[in-house]
Formats: sequence, structure tokens, C-alpha cells
Amino acid sequence: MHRRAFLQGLTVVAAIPSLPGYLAAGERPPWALGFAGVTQDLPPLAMQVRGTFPAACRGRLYRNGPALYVRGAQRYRHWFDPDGMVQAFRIGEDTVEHRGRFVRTRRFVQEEQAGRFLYGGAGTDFAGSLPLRNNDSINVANINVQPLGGELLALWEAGSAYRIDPESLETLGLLEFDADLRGVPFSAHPHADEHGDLWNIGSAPFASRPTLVLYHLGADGTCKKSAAVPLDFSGYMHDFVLTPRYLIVLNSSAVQGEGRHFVDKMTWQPERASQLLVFAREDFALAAAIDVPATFVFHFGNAWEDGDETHFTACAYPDHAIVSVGMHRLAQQQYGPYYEAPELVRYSLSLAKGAARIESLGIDMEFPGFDRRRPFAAQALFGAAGQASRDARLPSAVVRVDPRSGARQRFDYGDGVIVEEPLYVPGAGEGLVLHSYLDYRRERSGVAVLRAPALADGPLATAEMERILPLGFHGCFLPATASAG
Amino acid sequence: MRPLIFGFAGLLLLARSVSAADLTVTITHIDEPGGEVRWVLFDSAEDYKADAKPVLSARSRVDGDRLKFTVHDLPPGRYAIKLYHDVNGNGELDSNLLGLPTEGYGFSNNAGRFGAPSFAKAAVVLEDDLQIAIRVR
Repeated sequence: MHRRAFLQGLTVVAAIPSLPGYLAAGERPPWALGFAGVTQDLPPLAMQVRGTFPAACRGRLYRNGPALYVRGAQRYRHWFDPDGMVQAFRIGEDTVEHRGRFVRTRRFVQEEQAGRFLYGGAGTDFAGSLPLRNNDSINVANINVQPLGGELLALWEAGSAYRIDPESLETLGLLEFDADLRGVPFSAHPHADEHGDLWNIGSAPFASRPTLVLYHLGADGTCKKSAAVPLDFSGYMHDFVLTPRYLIVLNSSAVQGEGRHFVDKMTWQPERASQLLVFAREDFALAAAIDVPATFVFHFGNAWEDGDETHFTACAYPDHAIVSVGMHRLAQQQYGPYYEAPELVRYSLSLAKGAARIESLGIDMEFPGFDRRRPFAAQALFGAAGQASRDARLPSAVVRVDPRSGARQRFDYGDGVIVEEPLYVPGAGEGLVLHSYLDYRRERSGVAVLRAPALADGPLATAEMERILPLGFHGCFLPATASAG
Repeated sequence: MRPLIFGFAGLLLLARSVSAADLTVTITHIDEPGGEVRWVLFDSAEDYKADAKPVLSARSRVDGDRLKFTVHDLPPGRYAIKLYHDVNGNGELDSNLLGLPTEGYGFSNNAGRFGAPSFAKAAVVLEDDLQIAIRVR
């Protein structure tokens, strides 16, 4: 496989003329397929299976991501923007079936009826857009899909979550709590604790004063408590860290200023320290605020405690160029990459001292995953790494990293295959890693399963189809017993 | 100005004066059933901003996804309308803990992007009879 990657790398080098010329040519890069989008719901389709999917990964792999890029002559220009589609891969004994359905957000329904985009997005403005009632007016529910109380949630980060039927993928309505929380942001990465309760944040930089909302939900989805905390500044935040006693939130140095839309308003302020805010799970009181060097993070690994220290990992960027430039370029199918790769770093916090130590694990990685049954264990992280094309930071490899030692193992599919978020699936000995992918040279979307302790051996089984899925963000796996798979 | 006669059907009558004009307003995209649309008509930026001394303040019961009413015999001038859909009938535009509205609302000219527009942006010039549409956002 490495040999293949090497050879393909050479082919690419030979095929690309001098840089200015190929940038000016206006040609679409081959991976542009991943950002073409779809325009219709995708009916059930049997995929071509190679190998055997172990019993432990029989069930449903659900994924969400931006999918509807175009209406008429309008096209979204940022990866944050297209309407969400929930994808379901039903993995059986020797069959894998795919289907996809757009989340019927209020916005999607209005725009479907109008036959055009009525509103701008987080990173796109359209001439003649309608005014917004509130942040939920442009909710596209396109970041994550996670289970809650026998249903699924299609999650965005600047508004409400939508409830989805896990069987039909039909949209059931908004996840609602009380009147005070109506339309309040509920971020895309809720985390379950040791009892199955769910914790989440909501970031509202657009409120009259930048506000962070904290949520504690029961396993059935009822809100046990919530709090709204004013922030010193409106840094971008996407995910957070749950510990046995705290929620740790990074208020990043990508701060909202003036601009045409959310992404345009985001300004990188390297002179401004990023802030680790530590809130007690018990009552959401602020236990500590620790300044760290300016950084930008989407995703965190899980936390573990070790004596007086709390450790966790983060996929850290040196600035916010991935959002301000990279995701624009990708969505517009332009050559890149124009931003730095994310580096896996380990934070070690001493709350008593109010100090944080940050160490690099020396690996580029995104989409960290772990065994969610053990949310507070020092355990292997799984992620997507490498680069499927020299002109785009789209990962080609699955990696496993020990967050203490930095020891790692990887399987690289090589140039031409884009790896999506790897999920850890318990069972089959030391577990499995399940992920979707786009093979843009062979023009196929697929799902692969690998043995978690032996990633380097490559996939045990794959299922592919000629149906090309838009590259997405996050999802979950529900075993057959839970999903009646 | 004479007291207005007001009906839930949405018809408003004022005594006709010299060179007066009618303003007909269609409210569209009412996306929740029930309740009332409460609307207020202003003729000055100061009153509009202060939410005080409106030319008219009225409400119309929601039956379907649109409403139409006419304000008769207004003197020529600049007018702006603010409205909201009081779904639960509590007499307020409900908002969440962030202070952001959670019921539908709108302004003449469909002005504004996120939040309320200025009078200058919401105002229409009434010289002759005029028909406008306001989309509930």
C-alpha cells in the first residue's frame, strides 16, 4: 500500500504543471467529487461487499454532513453551509445497504418550496437573502448525528438539534426543552458521562453579549439543568472536554468581529490568549480560567485524571485559516490547501495551580474517536491523518495513537482515498474501527472496517457503491441490538 | 385622528380626509397556526424607536398562513410597521434566555437582517393608495 501511495504520488507530480499555471487553469481537482453534493434523498442501495464484516459491527453506521450545495444558480461557498443529510449504512451479515435523507429543517422546507436558497449561511451570503428570525433561521443540522433516547439527533452548533427517526430517517421535529432554551445553540458534540447522562455546550457569539450555554441532560433527553455564562470574548468553540467533575471549554483566539457572515466575522487574534474555562459539573460554577497560547481547535479527545492533573488531547491548528480559507476553497472545489495540518497535542491541567502544560504528540490528526464506554480512561485515540492529495488536507489514513506515549499505528490508503471520521466499535477482541471513505479516483463511496489493535493490517472488509456521497463530518455506530439492524 | 374602528377580519376604517390614502398590508408566511398577529404603525423615527405613540396599534386573529388588512385615509407621509405573531396569546414577543425572539415577527419593507431595522429602512412612502407585503420571519 505504501508503494502504491508512492507511485501515485509520482503520477500526480508528473501530471501537475507549474503551480501558478495550474491554479489559474480553473480546472477542478479530482477530489472535487467530494464537494459536488446531492440534490435528492438517496433511496436504499445495496453496496458491493468485499470480505466479512465482523458481527460486532453489524448494525447501523449513521453519518451527517453538508450535502445540498446547489439550488438553481446559487451555490454555497463554504463547507459549513450545505444542508445536512443523514446517511445510514445498514451493515448485515453479508450485506451493506446505504440510504440518505435530508434533514427537514425549517429552512430546508421553506427553501425546497421556494426553489432557491432564501437565506445565507455561516460562510456564504446570497444577494437578496431574507432577514432572520433568529440563529435557528439558518440551521442546516449538518454536523453530527448522535443517539438520544431511542431517536437520533441531527446536530448543528449555532442552534437547535433536530430529532430524527433512526429507522426511516424522517425528521421528527426540534429537540426542545423549555421556552428559555428555545432556539438556543446546542453544539454538535454532546458527551455522555459514566452514567449515560449527556452534557453539552452551546456557543452564542451573536447574542448581545457573547454567551456560553451549558447543558446537563438525562439519558432520555430531559434537561436536568442548564446555565448561561457570559464570556469575556466571543472565541470560536466547537467541542469540549468532559471529565469526572468538570466541563472544560476552550474559548479560542478566533474571535467574532464585524463582517458579512459568521465566518467573515471571525478574526484571528494571535496576541489574545485562548482561554480554558473549567466548569463544575455539579452546579456549572466556574472553577478555573486558564490562559493558554493562542490556538484554534475543533475537536478534543477524552479526558483522564492522574493524581492532581487532568489530561486530554486536542487537534490544534496554529490559526483559524482552515475555516477562513480552507473550508471556502474545499467547498468551491479549488486547489489548496492554504492552511496548516492539525497537530495532536496533550493538555495537562493542574486546577490547583491554575496552570496548563501543552505537549505535541508529533502527529497530524483530526476527527479523534475513542471507546465511549470508558469516557475517563487513558485510552487509545483513533483519528484520520495523512493527505489524500497533495493539494488538499483531506486525510488518507486511519491512525491509532496512545495519548500518553505518542506511540502510533496507521494504515494509509494512499493518494486518492479520503478517509472520514473513524469510529471505535467495541467487540471482536480489542475492538474495531469503522469509517466511511471516498475513493475519488475510482469514483466510489465506501465503508471499511479494520481491527483496532492492528490498523496497519488494513481493512478486514469494505462495502462500496458508485453512489458518490458528499464528504461529511461526524456520526455514530449503533449495534444491531440497539438499532434492530 | 379619529378613533379607529377595528375588526378581526382585518378591516380598519378611519374618517376620510383630504388627500388621504389607504395602506393595504398583506402579511405572509405565518408558519404556526393560531394566535394573533399584533402590529403597530408608526409615522416617525422617534416613535418607532421608542415604541411609543403609534398611529395605530391593532391585532388580527390568525386563520391560515396569511392576513390582509387596510388602513384607510392616512395622511401622506412615511410609515413603518412592526408586527409579531403572538402564538400563545401572552401579549408579548417571546424571547429565549439570549434575548432572541422565538415567535415570528416582521417589519415593513422586510427590512433588517438579524434584529430590528431602523425606521429609515422599514419606512414606506405613502402618497397614493399603497399595497405592501410583509413576510413573517
